[in-house]
Amino acid sequence: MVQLEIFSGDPPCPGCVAIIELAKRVAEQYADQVELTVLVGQECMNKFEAYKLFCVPAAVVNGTVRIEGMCPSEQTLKTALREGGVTL
Amino acid sequence: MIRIEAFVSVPPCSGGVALKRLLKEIEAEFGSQVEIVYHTGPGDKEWEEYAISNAPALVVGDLVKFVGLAPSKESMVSALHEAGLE
Repeated sequence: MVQLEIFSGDPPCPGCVAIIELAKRVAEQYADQVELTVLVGQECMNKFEAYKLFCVPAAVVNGTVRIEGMCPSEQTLKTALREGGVTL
Repeated sequence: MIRIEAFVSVPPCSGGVALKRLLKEIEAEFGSQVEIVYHTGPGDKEWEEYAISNAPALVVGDLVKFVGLAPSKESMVSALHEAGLE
């Protein structure tokens, strides 16, 4: 399984709202290949710092930071997942 | 003295980072005329008082001016003028 971690602020910015919605949609599409974890606010700070993230929204695929500070297009998120091993 | 309340999320979003940079500029330029207060994370009661559910947000004077985005410096200065900045 490819691990997709989405980081969101609390309260969320519009980009955080959008990336969570997008990630849920894409993860559902590839449910047999993608395991989605949504990390929000203070509870995600340990991982946020471990990945040396600077700001949210962010998407981490298999432990590698792929997208930070913006909500990507669906195609971009899918490309990041493909780089992580998802067969599209 | 015009009060600026900045609402940012934890962790900070890209707009929150931009907003902090902007407010540093505003403080440098209008430092004696503005008071800047930060509400970081969802804990402060002001989030509910102003019914703000998206970050970043800015209250200037006692009015919500921007929600879910960092304004341009021009817009920020306009908001300050509307609040009484001379």
